[in-house]
Amino acid sequence: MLKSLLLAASAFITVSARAQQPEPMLFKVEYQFIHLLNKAKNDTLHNEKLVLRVSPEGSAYGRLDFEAVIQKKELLPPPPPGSVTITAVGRPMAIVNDWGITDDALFFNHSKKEIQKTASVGVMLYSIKESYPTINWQITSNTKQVGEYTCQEATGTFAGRKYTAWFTTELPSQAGPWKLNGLPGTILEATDDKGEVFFIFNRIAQAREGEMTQNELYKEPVSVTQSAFNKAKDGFDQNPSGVVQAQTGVTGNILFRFRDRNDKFHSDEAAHRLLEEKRKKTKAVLSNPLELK
Amino acid sequence: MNSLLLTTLFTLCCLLSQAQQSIKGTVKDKSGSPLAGVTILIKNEKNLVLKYAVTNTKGEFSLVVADTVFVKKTNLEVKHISYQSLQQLIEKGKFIYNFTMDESAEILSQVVVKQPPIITRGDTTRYKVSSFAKDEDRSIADVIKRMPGLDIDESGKIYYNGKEISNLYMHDDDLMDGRYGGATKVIKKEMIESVDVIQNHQPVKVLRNKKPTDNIGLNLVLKDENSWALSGQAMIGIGAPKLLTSNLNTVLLNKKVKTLNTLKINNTGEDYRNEITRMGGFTENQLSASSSQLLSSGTAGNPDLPRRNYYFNRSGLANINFLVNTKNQFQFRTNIQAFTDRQTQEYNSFTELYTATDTIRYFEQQNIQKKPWILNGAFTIMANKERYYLSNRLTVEAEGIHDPNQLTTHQNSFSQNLRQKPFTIANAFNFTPSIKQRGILDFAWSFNYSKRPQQLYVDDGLHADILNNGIPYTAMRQTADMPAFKNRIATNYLISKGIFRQQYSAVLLQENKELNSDLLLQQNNHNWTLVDSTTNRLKWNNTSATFTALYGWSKKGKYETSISLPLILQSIRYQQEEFSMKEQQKRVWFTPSLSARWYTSTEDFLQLSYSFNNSISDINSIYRAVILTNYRSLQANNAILQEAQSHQAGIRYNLQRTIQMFFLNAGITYSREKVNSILAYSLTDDVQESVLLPVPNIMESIQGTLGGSKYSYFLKSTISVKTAYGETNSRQLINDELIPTKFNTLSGSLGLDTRLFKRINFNYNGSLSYQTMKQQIKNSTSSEMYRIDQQFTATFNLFKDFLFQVQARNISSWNNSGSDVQYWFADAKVRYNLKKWKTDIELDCTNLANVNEYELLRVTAGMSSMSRYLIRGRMALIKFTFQL
Repeated sequence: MLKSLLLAASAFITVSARAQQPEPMLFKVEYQFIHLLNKAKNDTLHNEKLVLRVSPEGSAYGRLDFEAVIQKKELLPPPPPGSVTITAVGRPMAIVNDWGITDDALFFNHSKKEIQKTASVGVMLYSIKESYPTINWQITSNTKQVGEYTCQEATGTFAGRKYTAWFTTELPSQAGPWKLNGLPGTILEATDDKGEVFFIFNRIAQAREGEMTQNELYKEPVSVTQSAFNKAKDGFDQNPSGVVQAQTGVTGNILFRFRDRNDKFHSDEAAHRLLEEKRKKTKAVLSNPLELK
Repeated sequence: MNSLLLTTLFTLCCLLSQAQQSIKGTVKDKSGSPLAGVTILIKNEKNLVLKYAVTNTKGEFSLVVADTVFVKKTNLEVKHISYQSLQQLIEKGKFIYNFTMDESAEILSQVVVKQPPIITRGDTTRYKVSSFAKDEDRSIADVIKRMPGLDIDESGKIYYNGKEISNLYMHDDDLMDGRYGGATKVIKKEMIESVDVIQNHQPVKVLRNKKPTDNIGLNLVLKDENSWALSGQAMIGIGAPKLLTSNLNTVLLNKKVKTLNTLKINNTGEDYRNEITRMGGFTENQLSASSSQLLSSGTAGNPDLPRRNYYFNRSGLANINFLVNTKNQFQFRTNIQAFTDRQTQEYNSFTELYTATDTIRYFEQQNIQKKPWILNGAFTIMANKERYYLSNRLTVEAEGIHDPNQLTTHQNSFSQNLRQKPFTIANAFNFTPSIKQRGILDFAWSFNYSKRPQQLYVDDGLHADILNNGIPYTAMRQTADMPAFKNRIATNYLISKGIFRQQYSAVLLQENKELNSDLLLQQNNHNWTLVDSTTNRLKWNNTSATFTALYGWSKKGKYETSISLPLILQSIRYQQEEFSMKEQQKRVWFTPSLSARWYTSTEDFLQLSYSFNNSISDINSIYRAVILTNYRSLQANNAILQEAQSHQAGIRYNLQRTIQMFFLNAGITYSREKVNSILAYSLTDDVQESVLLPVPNIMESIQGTLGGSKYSYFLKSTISVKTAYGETNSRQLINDELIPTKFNTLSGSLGLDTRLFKRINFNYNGSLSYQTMKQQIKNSTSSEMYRIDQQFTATFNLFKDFLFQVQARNISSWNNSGSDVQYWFADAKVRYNLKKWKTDIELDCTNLANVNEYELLRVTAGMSSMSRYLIRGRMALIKFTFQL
């Protein structure tokens, strides 16, 4: 298994890889991400599990499944003639996330210093332009044990926050959680100096054969600017089913679900009530964003 | 001591620029290509990183180091996750270091992950019931509704991300034989551990990893697979006027035995035939029954309203499902449904038929008292093993329809009785061996025997001038039957490699059919006599062999094309001795079809399709003797075998600007059908006679559609518009005159979804259609009609666990013969969960405006009609559901 994984990995290196292409995964790290959304309110401490998938040249980070879907290389054959074809007549679904829930995913190629951010609104996936985050890290001689790994400390400033990161050369990749990257080893933990942002190591696992950093996309994402994306996202929070109707051309009722911060899904009347609360709280809650500058 | 020195050294590195030197170099692989993203480390003896650099895309690196590294023995470490690490001592006076890295298995030993392995999950998404269920949920259906991506509609059909699932499995078994509609509402949530959604679901083990499907299977995983506990659910609902509905269910599920049984009654307009319909689990080689209904008791269809609005019923259903798995991996399954009903229906209709010189008007009024029953049984044996897949499914379907009714025309009133006894026995056998090659080979054999004896009794001496030489008589009886036997053998071979795939299939079909009919009259002396030329004893035999080669090329996001090349050898023999007719026809057909789709950008695509079809009509276009298909229609044929050749071509463009929330699609389809015979009508005030004559006919139609939707950020609403225009040209032979007829349709719809006063969601859907029919002859007037259908839905979210929804619908319709109808319908629904009592209460009010009659206008080629139906008035129903 190891051998074929390596073969697949090395075969990939010879091909020029773009950041957004799915790559064979080597290992994956799960972090507990903690973020105080509003300094004035302690109950706005947001907590979720996020995953870093590392490939030879790049990495992917976001609300990804710890276990990735094995890629299907074969194409689907058409149904045999005379078979009963069932036409799908279902309705699309609009899912609104509560405050703080990470709804974008970052895909890096560290060798080429490329980054792609993807995020969805309604049923569409968008790709948003970002510049590759470069952090001027200062390495210190402090060490600590994270999981089974010996990590060394480094400090650096990014987007208005001063971070302390713990990286290990035992995992020789420049990847890390979120946009924190560029150290000579994988970052397993990071915190900001104000105690408002934490990336805490949860678990790590070697990738299974055929696991990729990114699931094969049904469709290429549509490239947009951040401001156009924000506008679409605001529109979606205002009228989720309306936006999905406009995206798909489907008329009639669209299914609607609300995902709360405990990862529970709500439907019907409860979902509408929670969406109403989200709209009211919008600005009040998120006064302490992840990126200050 | 050493660490102190190093810390000092480290500080010095950072502070003293004058004591610094630069080390440079490149890193390449064995083939000489530069390697990017390689880290170059300088470490101390405690293995701590002091300095590092990363190679750029040219493989170059540069490190600024303190002078001391040349003095002390310091190593340069070169690392990349895919390559073997290298080390080199920094030499005094040497500032350039080049490295060549080997790909090596060793590298992964550095990435040994110190955690237990992960459980394989593949294409399965597992929803744990405990994380989604709420206190108020009763059945697994309630929980499935909460799971993201999953939804259940009113009939029980399940969708995953908007796509219908292929089947529902209970602990890997298809207990319900595809009729899973009612099952999820009956199974308690406590019995199920998780709901597994299996994408690309392939139920046949032999084909797994070989034949990918895009089916989605849903599996309910049992919490206790050894449980022998029997559970149940009961529902009772009462309402006004005199409404009653009740259900009783029992369920037992474990690894070895599974059973789910239902007993139901209602008179509230709920149609249990939905539960008899299979929703999934189709096998590809099932043959359908080919005996068709020839006789009918009236000429009007059903109104275009939801079924519960006009279905006056007293129905009962028993549904029994039983499955057992044996130790040697065989499975035996029985599924039985018994249905009975008493249905009443009342309507009247005016029909106008246009001839070249005249307009013929018919009036018909009917009071129907149908008493249908259905008994279905399916018996399945299956072995789904690693070595082979084998299944055999035997089905028996018996049905009785007893339809006595009173019919009034503009001339007289009489009673009728239509009796039918359809019966079908069918078997489907499937075998797929496991073969070593990449291809897939399968074999299927199936047969179907069906008959449909039918008899129409009319208690009056109708059409005496045509049928009885003008002598009055008292009653008539038309009998007909169409026994049919079909036999089909098919084999398939499929290979798929890269972007190219090929499939070859051979299908052998053999079909024997008969059509027997007689028309008898009861003379005034009470003797029954046979009418001349009304006896059909037609024998029909159809044998065909179809060889199909199918090729496809596709590249995701770029193009998808497929071409199908079927070659059909067909032989048809038919004989009708009483008309000394004996014919044999042999044909070789080649009917290619092509479809292609190009993606012009990530959001837009262009689609082209073309198909050619050749068809030979069935036994229905051959019989020579007259059949009374309903009280006023006499039908016969006087033509050679009906053959039709049709071409269909279409083009479609899809444009999407999702960030602007704008969606547009446009398309045109054209079809042309050439038929070698035409149905000639002879119309008089009380009878329609039709004969198929050998006159060539061409039907052409063109249709264009344009649709779009846009979300307005300002209005927080979506507006969607759809328009379509169609034109059909055909010819009709009415009263010996060939009449070219043009039929036009223009339709448009408008949708709006918006939010009002924060707590109300409002949805509007309106559609308008305008139809004209014009016979292209002198002095003919065109028939026109329009129809507007508007639906308003408002959902109020006022309190927790409480739902209130109101719905209103307005239908208005007009035609140029002066009919003008307008209706308002209103429904209201309140749902409340009583947690304390473990009971659900639901109050449903329908047709609040108490509309008791509904009129429907229609226009088709050569005809326009207005039908008036008696429908269910205001109803209120309160339902309680308990767990047993």
